[in-house]
Amino acid sequence: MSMRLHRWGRITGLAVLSLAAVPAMAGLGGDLSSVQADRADMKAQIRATPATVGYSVEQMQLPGGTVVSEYVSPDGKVFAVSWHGPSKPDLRDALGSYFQQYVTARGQVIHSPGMRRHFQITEPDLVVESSGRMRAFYGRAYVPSLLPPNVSVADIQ
Amino acid sequence: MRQLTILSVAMGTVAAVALGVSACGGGGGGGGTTSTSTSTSTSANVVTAEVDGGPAALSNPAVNTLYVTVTVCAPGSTSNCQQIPDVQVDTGSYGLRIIGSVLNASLASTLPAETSNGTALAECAQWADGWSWGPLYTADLQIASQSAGQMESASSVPVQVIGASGYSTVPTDCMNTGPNGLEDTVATFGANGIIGVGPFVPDCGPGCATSPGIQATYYTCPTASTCTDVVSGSGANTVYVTVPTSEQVSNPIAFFASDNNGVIIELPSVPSSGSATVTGTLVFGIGTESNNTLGNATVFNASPDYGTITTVFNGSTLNGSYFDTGSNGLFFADSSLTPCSASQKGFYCPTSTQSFSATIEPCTSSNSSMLDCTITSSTTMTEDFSVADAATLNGANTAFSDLAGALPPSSNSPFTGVFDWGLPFFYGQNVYVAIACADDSGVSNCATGAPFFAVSAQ
Repeated sequence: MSMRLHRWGRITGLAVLSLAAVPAMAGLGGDLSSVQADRADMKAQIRATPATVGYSVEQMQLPGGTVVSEYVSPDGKVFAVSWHGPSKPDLRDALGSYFQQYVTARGQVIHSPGMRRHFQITEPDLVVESSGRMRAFYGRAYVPSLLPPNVSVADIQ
Repeated sequence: MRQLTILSVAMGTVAAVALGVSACGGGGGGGGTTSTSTSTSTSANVVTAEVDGGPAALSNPAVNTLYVTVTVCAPGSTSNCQQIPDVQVDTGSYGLRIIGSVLNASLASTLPAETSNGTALAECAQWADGWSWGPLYTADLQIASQSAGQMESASSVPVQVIGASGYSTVPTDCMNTGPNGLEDTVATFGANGIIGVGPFVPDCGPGCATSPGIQATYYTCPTASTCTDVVSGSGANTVYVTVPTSEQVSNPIAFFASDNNGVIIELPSVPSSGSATVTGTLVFGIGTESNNTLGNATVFNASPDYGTITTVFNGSTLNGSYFDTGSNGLFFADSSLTPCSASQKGFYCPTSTQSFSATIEPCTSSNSSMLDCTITSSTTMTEDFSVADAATLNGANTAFSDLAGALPPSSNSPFTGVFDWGLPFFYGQNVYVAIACADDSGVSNCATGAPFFAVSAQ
């Protein structure tokens, strides 16, 4: 495990929580407690940032370097996810129960070539913003109704 | 006159999907004349590229999308070839990909499969809005030059055939990277294919070349319906298929025998009312011929990991910026601009055209997670641009210099922000893309300081 840390060691300065077990993502709308499940859907390491007022952020680095962040409310619910790096995360894992809604929404949009570079869906209970070029993807998704008080969309990065 | 749809980047509620601006009354017509902008140059490394509505199969004409005609041949053959028009030129991706239904069966059946340890390879190519699934082959590539009888040619180029017949079973973890089946036909892809000519060679890079690999990228296929990206293990210990960078789907320019270290996109300017079509050129090579020297071009070194440069706009330094022919507008965050609704959602709809100015600079590293930029210049360039109301642009045109859309105003860590200079940036100036080409890239005469972008006046 420690060798793997060095291989991914570009991101420094963040505390590594635990190397003993690699948790799965809770996914958007999911409960943080489910992250501790043994089932490891995503091959990742957990890195936790210090708790910020109003929410905390769990970060994972995927093989290849993509960083996925889960924004967690005080009651342990994931209200937002974000990602950046050379690959896209498994969106079924990242969006959790909201993945099908995202897929359905995407299927109803009239296509244009520009969407390969920027794509958003904005629905009352789900916002997904996915952007990027090959080797350089970034995006975020959140459930507006789940944002804790005093947390703004701008905090989701 | 074709009906306009400024094809939306985003959608609102399900009910808001509309097929276009109404052709009745005052909708869609901005007045003024349509125009065709053209520029030409003649030399062996110069090929024609055009902004137009794209293939006839599209139900809505493409907007701000650059196309080129390529010829694909069986390796070593000069007769078993097929000319393919309407292939999108994309500086934000890497590699040649053709929609399976476009390829003649007589050609497709003769292309050798690209293999790993004797097993055929396939790929789940990633896009912001989904994926394109299909097998990998090798082919010879030709692009006809504007110089009569001459062409740019490359041998044994990796080619992905998207939506190839026989490969209809899409692996689950490929489908988990986005919505299903929406980037694998001409109508949904918006082109007959795509030629990715960005500032790198391999489409995935070191992450896919070194164990444990990257999930949902490269797959081995013992049969067309049993493709897998797993080599061994499961869960946290999964080892995924790896492909050396020299064998990944790659920027075809690197495979040219010469003039293979980059490309210059030269498109004429577009008036504020737009152009019906735009005809310009791609000039291959940087500093290898008399027609591709940098001259007094302003050079912007790009970050060696993400190929980004810096833009200063509205007082913010945005060091995750880039130039991108694959973006159909200028994309940036500005809360003063009214977002469009309905079929233009995703673009900006100010009530009157707004004028802006930004400063473009070479890459900068904002924190230790970014690879260091190699700055060889401290140049800056002022770029003035306009943003028109996307809902009132002339539906007869396909090229617009003042079409812009929204990016979320987040810092997009590790970057401090993003300004995406899409195709409108390319109108009226020459934009160079120098490929990062150390080591096994196959490029001769790697441009000093690559990867970099450069801009020169016409």
